[in-house]
Amino acid sequence: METYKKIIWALCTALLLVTVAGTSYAQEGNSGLVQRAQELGVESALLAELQSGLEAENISEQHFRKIVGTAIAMSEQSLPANMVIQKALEGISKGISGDRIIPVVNHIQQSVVKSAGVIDEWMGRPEIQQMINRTEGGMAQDEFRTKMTKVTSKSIIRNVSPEAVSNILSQISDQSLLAIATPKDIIVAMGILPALPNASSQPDASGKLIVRALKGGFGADELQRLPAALRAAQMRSQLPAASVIEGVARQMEGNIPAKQILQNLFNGNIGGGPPGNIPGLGNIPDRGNKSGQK
Amino acid sequence: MRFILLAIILCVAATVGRSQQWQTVISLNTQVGYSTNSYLNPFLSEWNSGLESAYNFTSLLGQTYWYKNNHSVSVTGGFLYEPIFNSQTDPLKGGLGLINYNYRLTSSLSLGINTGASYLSSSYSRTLTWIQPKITWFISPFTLMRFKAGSSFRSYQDYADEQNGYSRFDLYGLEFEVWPSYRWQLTAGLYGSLNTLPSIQTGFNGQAGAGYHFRNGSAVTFTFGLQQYQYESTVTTGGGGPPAGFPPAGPGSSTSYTETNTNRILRFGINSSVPVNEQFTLFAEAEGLYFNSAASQPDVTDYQVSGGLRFSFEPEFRNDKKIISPEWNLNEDSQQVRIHYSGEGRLYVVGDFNNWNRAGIPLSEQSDNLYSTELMLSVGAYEYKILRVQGNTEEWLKFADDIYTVSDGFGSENAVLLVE
Repeated sequence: METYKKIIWALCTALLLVTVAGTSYAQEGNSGLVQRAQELGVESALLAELQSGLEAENISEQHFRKIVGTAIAMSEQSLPANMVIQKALEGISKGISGDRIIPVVNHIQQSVVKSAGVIDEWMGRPEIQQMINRTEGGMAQDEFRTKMTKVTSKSIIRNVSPEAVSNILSQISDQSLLAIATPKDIIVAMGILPALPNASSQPDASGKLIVRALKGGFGADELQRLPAALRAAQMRSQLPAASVIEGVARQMEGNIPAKQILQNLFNGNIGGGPPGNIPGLGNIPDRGNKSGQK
Repeated sequence: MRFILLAIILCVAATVGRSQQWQTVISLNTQVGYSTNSYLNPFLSEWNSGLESAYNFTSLLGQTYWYKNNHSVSVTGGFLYEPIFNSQTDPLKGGLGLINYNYRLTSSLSLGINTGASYLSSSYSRTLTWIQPKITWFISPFTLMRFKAGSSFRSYQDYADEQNGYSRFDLYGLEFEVWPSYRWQLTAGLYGSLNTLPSIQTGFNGQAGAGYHFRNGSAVTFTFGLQQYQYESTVTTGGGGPPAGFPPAGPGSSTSYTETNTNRILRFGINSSVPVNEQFTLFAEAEGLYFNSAASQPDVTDYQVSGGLRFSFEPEFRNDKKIISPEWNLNEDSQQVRIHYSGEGRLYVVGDFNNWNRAGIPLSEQSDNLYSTELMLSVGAYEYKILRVQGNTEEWLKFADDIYTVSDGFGSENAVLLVE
């Protein structure tokens, strides 16, 4: 119940920020806005890039003010404002019109607000604090919060619900995992969440997968290959996404090396259900019925 | 037969050309073995207890697997060659083609169809074709049951005797597969002719298997099978006394009656495979059979043993030079990206790490078609794209299916780099 209250509060804050961003800075000059943003910690280089976009007429002055205004509003809430400017720059780089960039920027802002709500609650747990403050592999509180907020917001942007993210983070609070995982490991592992099938509808399964991947020693390189491998396994095995996730978790539990799990997945062998029909021994020559005629 | 093979090859080519969601594996198998009955021969599978010989079996097969949404198709085709070292027998030559289509109707139900053909030629020729619709029920994530039923056609021609034969069989199959753990795979199947139903005992082929998968990718599977065929024959007695029954025949009279004969074949087997590396796999198998017939004596016992090597690889059919697969590696403190690209122009990495500045981070050509650069990045998830610049033309290159990508919110896809 507490989580829902926080999420509702976060939504209201997001709405308020959007409104404030659109009105408060309407009368302020561009240089004043930029200065204000810099004072609040928005990277100068990002603001300069954005101004270049304005000068190159990729975006209008109105769009520029909305984007910077949104960044300022986020900075005031100690949220990673650089994300929205970076997204705007991405849009400019890809030749997207300002009218199409603004809704995406707003969506990111809302997602970051929701994400920060979930992360702040999770980081309030004593066991998480203990992990962050560990000397070996530890990380500064603010840096960890920013990176976790960024990485989980990318899942929320892609329609993973805040409740699902919260559920998955709860599973990561498992003591046996926290004893071996570092803050860096957790940031990287959460990076695959947007690509996990059914992350929103079945957060339990996705959470288990992330926990087992961390316990199984999956590094950034293997985790990065996991989403595509899961996609291949689902298609090749013709099994539902949940079954594939469960099968992979089972392989991880069986202490199968990460490299081999990925290879199994690309071959459609999820360790449960039919393996891929690679031509070779046992599949030739199938006569359609496996019954010889004497 | 040639037309079927040609059609299959065309299907493979069409599949490869039209979709990026495909995977192709080419496999060359060669094995040597010794068999005392050609019924146990991996290709021939025709009863001839007199054909006792060593043999070699070599196959070159290709399989392309294509999928999109809930549809998937695998097309397999290739050539088979089997010299029988018994000098009186010509080598067997032939080919086969299989098409397996599946449509996932719901999360637990899948519909599909298997069809295929095989052809072999020696001192005779044999052609088999079959088509079988099927339905698969995933009872749980690790348990499935499949029912299939269809027709199989067999034509046979003996060149020496000028014998021609053509048969049609309407067959059913009921298969069950369960994985009680990651290591164990249990299978069972019941196959037979539709016209024997519901009296299954008049003709069926039952099979069961238990496979164990080792951590290094090796596997060993034990199989057991029971085949049973019943037929009726008329027996005429000439005064030697009738069988028990009613009415009793008079002494010395001749009488006839029908009796049911049952032939049974019991089969036991073991096969195993050991991967040597990513391309080569060693395999071996041994199988024995015991044939018992009420009408013929003595019982028959046969066996076959074989072993061989399989070479498999996934060929690159990437016709579109603009599809790339960036490889990231940690090189001391920096992230090194390497891209194989055979098209023209210069390549640049553009992404979160350079604030999406289109000027990009240039990739330098290290050797023929291999581009790379290094970036200093802290922990996190970074989105990026690769920009190709040629003269005044700039374009974002597409990523291959095996690259982790996410929607960028603008209707395109960004690749994701995770840094630890």
